[in-house]
Amino acid sequence: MENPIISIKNVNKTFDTRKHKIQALQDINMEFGKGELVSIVGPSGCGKSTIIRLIDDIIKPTDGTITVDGLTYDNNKPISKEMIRKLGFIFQISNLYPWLTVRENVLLPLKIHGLSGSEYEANMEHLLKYVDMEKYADVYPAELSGGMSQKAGVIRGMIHKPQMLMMDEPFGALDENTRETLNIELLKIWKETGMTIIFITHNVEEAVLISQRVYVMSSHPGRVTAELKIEFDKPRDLDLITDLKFAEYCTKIENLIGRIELAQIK
Amino acid sequence: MTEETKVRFNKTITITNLLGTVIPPISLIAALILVWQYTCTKNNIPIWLLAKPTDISKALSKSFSLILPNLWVTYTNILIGFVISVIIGLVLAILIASFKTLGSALTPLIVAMCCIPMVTLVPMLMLIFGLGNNVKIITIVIQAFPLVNMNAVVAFMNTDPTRLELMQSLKANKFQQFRFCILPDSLSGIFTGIKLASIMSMIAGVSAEMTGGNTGLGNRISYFIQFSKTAEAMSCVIYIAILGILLYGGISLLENKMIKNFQRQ
Repeated sequence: MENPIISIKNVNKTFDTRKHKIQALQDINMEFGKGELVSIVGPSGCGKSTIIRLIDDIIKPTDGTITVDGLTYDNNKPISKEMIRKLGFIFQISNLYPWLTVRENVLLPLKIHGLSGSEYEANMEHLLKYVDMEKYADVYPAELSGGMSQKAGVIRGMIHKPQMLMMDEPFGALDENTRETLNIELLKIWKETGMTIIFITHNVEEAVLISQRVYVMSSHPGRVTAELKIEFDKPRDLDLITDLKFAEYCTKIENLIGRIELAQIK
Repeated sequence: MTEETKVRFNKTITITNLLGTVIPPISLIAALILVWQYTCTKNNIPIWLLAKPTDISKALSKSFSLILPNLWVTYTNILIGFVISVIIGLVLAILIASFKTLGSALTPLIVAMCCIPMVTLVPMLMLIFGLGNNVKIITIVIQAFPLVNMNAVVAFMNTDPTRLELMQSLKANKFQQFRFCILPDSLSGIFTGIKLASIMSMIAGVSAEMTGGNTGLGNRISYFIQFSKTAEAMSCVIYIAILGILLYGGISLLENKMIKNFQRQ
């Protein structure tokens, strides 16, 4: 890939526990182009979430290099404030603070980054409207359903207009209907903003529906085992699920994951 | 529901809640007083052994002018000692939670302070600091601040890791992490420590007065008991209990207000 915005080269990550060392990632090489929406799929414990935590500089790699928007991370130093503002992170659970209202939760990244101004206020209103949550802006998280909490968590990750968004199984805990709706809303936001999105999931249909490319990973230790381009002639909407090509992609990825799991059992 | 009906409905709920909070403790206290009065009268218990509630109420009004200066001394000592305990406890808790080495160094000392029996501590402190009010305040601080400190440290250390991860992903600095996540997440733990410290301040303050010196309600209780003036001694106990209830109630109100404030911010 020419000029990837995110590039991971020969990255290994080992976690030290009290009794022994656990190798979470082994020799990871990945590239993400500007404005791409790429999914990473694989069985539980394959290190999918670890990869985006490395990109977001929440954790440091044991060795290897991570380059984001031309900046190669120094493993001994935290990344610059400018770079932090370019990155957004959405968690598996909404992770809203119960003592803040939805609006205050969504605005929290701006307070932390020291950003203010009408541009962000307008973005806040726009995002609330986009996910149909204007009415719930001033309520506390305890008064929201799981789906609405997750929506608030998603727009909090986008409030500071990041160029790159890491999404860690954001809709994993939701029912299928809500998940599908949120996937379509995510596609709309992605098209409108042109962000680079790295989407972690173990739901193969979800990955095929929204992604341009899919990385398939295996576990113990986490490795990349395949990379697939997902191309459709039709627009990406829920009708795509009935398409033959969609089913072929899903089967292909499921087979790849199945083969990995079978090999591990053997 | 119209706005007017809503307001009326909310008012009814508030009054019902208030009555639900106030009526049960008052009823229980009234019932206990009645049983106490009845038992003393029926069994002809001598006043020097156990004074009747009516005797105590007479003593309360009769000896009020005598007790008032002592009441002032005790209340002031306890409040000053308690406030100092809260400040020291919280400041040390922030330092211990922020610097691991300092935590390892200070924690055993703080635990030891909390474990020293008061009867052994007060005479030793009186040898060093004399019999004045300072020694009472020092006793209160030594006994009460560890409770604030230990509860606050546990609350800070047990901040929900997923909430902290959000701060880490936003690269919040230490102060921002504390202000936006750790402190609001720890409020109930901190207030548990403060409430315990308010109780310990009462115990430590009155015990110190009973051990030495010539002022304060504790000193008056020792004096009255010496001369078998049980009703007067018990009236002093009631004044101490009133301060205890006021202090505890005040802290609970502050806790509710602060938690709501954090929700509003």
